[in-house]
Amino acid sequence: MHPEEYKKHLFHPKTNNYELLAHLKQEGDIDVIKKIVKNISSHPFVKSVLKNNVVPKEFADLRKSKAIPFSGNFVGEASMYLIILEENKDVINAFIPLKEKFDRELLLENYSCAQTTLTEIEKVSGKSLWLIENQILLKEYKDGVKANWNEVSELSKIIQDPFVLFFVENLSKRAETKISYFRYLNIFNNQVSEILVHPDLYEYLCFKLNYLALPSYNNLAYFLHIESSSAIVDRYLMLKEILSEMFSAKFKEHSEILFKIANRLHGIFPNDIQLCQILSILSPAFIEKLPVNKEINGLVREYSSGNYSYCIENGIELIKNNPTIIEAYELYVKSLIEDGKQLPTDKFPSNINNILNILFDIYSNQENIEQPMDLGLKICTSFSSTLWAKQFLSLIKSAASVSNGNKLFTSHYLIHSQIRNPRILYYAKKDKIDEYVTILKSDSDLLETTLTLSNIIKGNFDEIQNDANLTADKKNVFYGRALIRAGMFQEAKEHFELISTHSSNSPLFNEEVIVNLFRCFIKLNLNKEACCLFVEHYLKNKETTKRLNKGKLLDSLEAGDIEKVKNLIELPIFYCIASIDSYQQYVAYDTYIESRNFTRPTELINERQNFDSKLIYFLREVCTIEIMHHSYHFNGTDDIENERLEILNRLIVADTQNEDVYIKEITELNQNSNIRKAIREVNKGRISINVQQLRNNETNNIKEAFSRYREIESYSKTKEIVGIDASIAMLSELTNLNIEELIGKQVVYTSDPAFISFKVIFVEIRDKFILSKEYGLDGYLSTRIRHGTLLNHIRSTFESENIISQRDKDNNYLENEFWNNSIPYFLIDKKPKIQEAIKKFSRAIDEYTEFIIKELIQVKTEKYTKKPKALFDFSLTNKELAILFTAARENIKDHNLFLSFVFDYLQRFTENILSRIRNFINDEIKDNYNKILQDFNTEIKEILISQNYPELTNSISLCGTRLQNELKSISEWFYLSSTSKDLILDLKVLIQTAIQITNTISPNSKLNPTINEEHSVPMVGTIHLIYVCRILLDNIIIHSKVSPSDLEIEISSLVTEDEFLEISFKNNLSSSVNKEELKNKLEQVKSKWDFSSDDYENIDIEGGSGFDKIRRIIAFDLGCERYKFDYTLEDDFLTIKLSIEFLNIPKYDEEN
Amino acid sequence: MKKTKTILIEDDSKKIEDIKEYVTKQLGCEIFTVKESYQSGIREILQNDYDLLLLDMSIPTFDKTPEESGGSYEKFGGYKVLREIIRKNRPVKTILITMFDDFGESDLSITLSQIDQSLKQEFSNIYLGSVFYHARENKWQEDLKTIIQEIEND
Repeated sequence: MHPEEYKKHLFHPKTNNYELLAHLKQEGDIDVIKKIVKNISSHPFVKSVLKNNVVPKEFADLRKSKAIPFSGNFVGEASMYLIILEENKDVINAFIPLKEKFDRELLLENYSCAQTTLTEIEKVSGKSLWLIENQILLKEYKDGVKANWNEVSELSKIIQDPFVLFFVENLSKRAETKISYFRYLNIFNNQVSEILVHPDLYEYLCFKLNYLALPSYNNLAYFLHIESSSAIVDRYLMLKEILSEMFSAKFKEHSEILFKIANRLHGIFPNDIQLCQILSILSPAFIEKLPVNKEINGLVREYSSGNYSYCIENGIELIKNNPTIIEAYELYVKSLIEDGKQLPTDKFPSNINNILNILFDIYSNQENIEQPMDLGLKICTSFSSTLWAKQFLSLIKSAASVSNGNKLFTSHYLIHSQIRNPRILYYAKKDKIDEYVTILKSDSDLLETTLTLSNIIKGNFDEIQNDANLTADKKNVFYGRALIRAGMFQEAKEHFELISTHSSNSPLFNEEVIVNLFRCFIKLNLNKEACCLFVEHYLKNKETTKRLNKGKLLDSLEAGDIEKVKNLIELPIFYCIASIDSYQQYVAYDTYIESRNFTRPTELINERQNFDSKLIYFLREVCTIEIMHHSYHFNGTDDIENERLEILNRLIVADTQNEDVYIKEITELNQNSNIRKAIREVNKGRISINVQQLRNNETNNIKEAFSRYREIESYSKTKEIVGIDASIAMLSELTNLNIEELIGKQVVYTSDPAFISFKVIFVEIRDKFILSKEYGLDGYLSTRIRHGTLLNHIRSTFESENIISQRDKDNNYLENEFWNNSIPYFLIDKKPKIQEAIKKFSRAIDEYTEFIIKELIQVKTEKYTKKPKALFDFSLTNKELAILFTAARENIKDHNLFLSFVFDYLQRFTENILSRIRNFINDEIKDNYNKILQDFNTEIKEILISQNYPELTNSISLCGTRLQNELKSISEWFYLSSTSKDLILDLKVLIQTAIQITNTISPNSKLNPTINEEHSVPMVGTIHLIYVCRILLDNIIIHSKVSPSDLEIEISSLVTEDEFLEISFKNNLSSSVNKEELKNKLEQVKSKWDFSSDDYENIDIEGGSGFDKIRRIIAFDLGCERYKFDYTLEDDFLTIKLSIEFLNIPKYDEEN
Repeated sequence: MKKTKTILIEDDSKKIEDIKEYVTKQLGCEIFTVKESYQSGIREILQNDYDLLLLDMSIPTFDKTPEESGGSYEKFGGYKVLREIIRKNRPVKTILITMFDDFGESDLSITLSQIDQSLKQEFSNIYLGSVFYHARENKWQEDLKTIIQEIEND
């Protein structure tokens, strides 16, 4: 648009002036925009844009002015900044020296002076985000965290803008000295993810508040737009940081624009050193504008010539005089290291001391660098508005990683420097190096350093060789670097190999040799050598390898032929260190193991006589379960864990210094294995009948009835009956006999009194077999399957994929929060329908599962017909009884034999029923669930129409497979097992097993109780105690009314002196729980237990608290005669305490 | 495909039944083996020669038994199977049969056709294509037949 047209539009009453200026920014040319703005600057709207709220008087005014809409044009956005900054240049020119002073005083801990300076800054540039940041920082460091919080509190009263408040809160946390860097990172990420910010805004927030959170930044124009409502000071600082950011590789092509904007800005603010540095990197013409610091240049000179004692002697004073010049810190610390000296402890204020310590730890390759690094990153983030912090960040990032190739600093180190640093040569264009050298060497103090650097960069190795001013170590390293720069990698390799044999006490020298030798190996495709070098030094001191480019070697090995290095143990070790992909690690492991003709690591151990550090590392870190589980040489989890156990047992002996680590892992593996075993026992032992106890109880009862039967039976013998061979051995075939044939031939007369007597006894025993509250089948079905277990197992399948909803007490299904929170914006309009579909599906699943529990997993007989659809159908017709009678009458003369006969038959009968049930589950029940799931899938697809929502649709598909597997597992419960006495577990493991089972079947209510166990007592019969714990944990989930994440559970167990086992479960309760009602219920339970009542009326009824079921388990499954129930209810905490007579529990026999 | 020795690596019993029924009865495949995990699948292919592999993408690590939970569930276990058979130099012509038509998350989701393309690129010598299985529809049968016929015609 023509300049005049802007004017015309601007004065038109219907023009949206904001849109017009946005359009102007899209012109994308600094000069054009400037010219047009000049032309329209008399208009009141333009005037207000240029001047309004640039120096806010109150914090409440921050970001109050309306921003010109985003143009998407970087040059346009930056041009408006330049115009407004020029318009208000006096403010910034006053701000620049004051900021420098404030940064310096704060670092020196001259807090009152810093405070005075900050007040002055406020006077000249008003309120700003920068001011808030530094006010909080000053409070934190001067008066402590409470002063910081008070400041935040005061600001929160004044500021209304949520964006500014977000900054206040984050700046406060960022300043808190007790919040580590990584914790701040988590806090920041959690906060940002909670408010679901747009990706561009997220980038902006990271750029401003947490620079390290992202590896690089993209939308710099957008940052300028967001910051355009802020105070002029904030805008000025933002523009400079954006220009600095443009040195990153992705903006390489924009160096012209960068130069143009930086140059214009420099024209406005000639005293800004950062702008001079930016321009100096782009053009040697600006070098002379950089300040000269004689003291620091002297330090550079002496360090370069190896005069470390000079640097050490003068370093302290120099740092105190120039606390914001990081070069001084770097050279001082390196000199100490070169001279083998330690840092003095009491010469500096604590902030400076921290910086020096961190640099010292990094450069001297101290082990366990993580903590100093965290502190370093914390300092850099807290003080990120200062130049020195950015320089410091550049140093620690480069020295502790490969992110910057082999350089020990990034461009940010130079951009934020406050001196003329000859290292600028590393970033200069090749064709301009001589121009830089000419200017830099004009300063006599920098002459030597400049020439040496220039020779290295230009690959002038001969000049380095002839340089008499260099120490031997420096000459060696620089010579090699020059060879590399000259592209003579073979020569460089040989050189570094040669000097690597020299012994040097300098960790800096040693690290340089390793870094450069590794680089040569990579350049020469010597993967084997590179791999060995890396592993050798990593195992000696991993910090010496932090600058080796592992990624390059990894890529090279992947691209080349890994087979060429297959027989090196270094290969899997290197992959374990360098790769985060466990499959890739496995491939290296398997390649090596296979090259040795082994299938598993223990075979390798058996072959080796000695354990060297490589083998130990390989076994400890590579041969882990995570890596080995990819191998097809193992037959399952147990096999892999046993292999790992064997490895650990060998490592304990060979690597005694890590004994504790190995013992811990062995303990965990054993515990996991025990828990798995226990879970298997629980799963296979769900259907049982305590036949032995029933038998014991029935022996006396039956004696009399049996002798009467025998009498009648003898009498009835006189009747004419066709004899059949009904030996006990034939029993197994009884159910297959042709009944009709027997009855048709009148083998048995059903009016026979002997038959009737037989039938009465048989049916009575059968009824006890299935219905005895104490030992019968139905009791086990109730406690082990119907009591929440089946429903939870089925629901867990869907809960793990979040496709099922909870219901409230009135049986209404609730919204599924997971999908409410994660549904993407483009599907928001479909949310209600999706929720309705989930509710409908949830109801269908629950109703069908409840039908299975209430109607199918039940027992019935010909006279007990409460549940007509019951799968456990023990009904016996006269015909079937007649066959049994026929079999029994001739051969069974003794009541004990008779009992065996009946129980054998009933157990076979049960097994047949169970077989049918297993098939029923895997056929009909599976089909019915599948149908419900398929209907749900179809409904969701109909709702989505053509849109994609793979998270939901995949979850539904995945549940199909999981459900089938779960039903298969559930069908495996339906085997008859005797009550297991084989399983020996200590109390802690059995409690953990119960917790793990509970967490598996309630994946969205995972519990994490504290376990206090005084005695680790191994016990048999513990499977029953697992059921007890399970019921108590279910009670907590269901009745506490506390959300799982807020549940505080404490499980304690001890063995009292009088040999009672006491187990207590303590948990918090919601305030909504009616405590009086609860107390009454628990009192009733207690009195019932106190009187050892024989009333187990609730054991076959599901729901409720399950305390009758627990009592039944203790009394009959564990066979305890003395047991007690107690509780305490205090301050919203309920404790349930069970005491069980320990003596009666079939204890572990210590002699075994 | 009477003589085509076929192996299916799949853990979903309904899908196994359906595929087995179709491949053996409708397509007449006489030698049909089923393995239900990454481990057992790989082992079988390394030990015996097969002409065709029907592969699911998401499979457990080990076969599930009452004694074995199956280990961790491998979301892209099928991809790992392909990598292993290539690495061990036991190439088998492979068809991916999956119940997912979309992988990943809304914004970053990868469609089955994208996975298909990427597998075609990476395993061009053995990968024949993908089939989207749906328990209630039989289009997958047609799709599977078409791919198998293409091999037979080749």
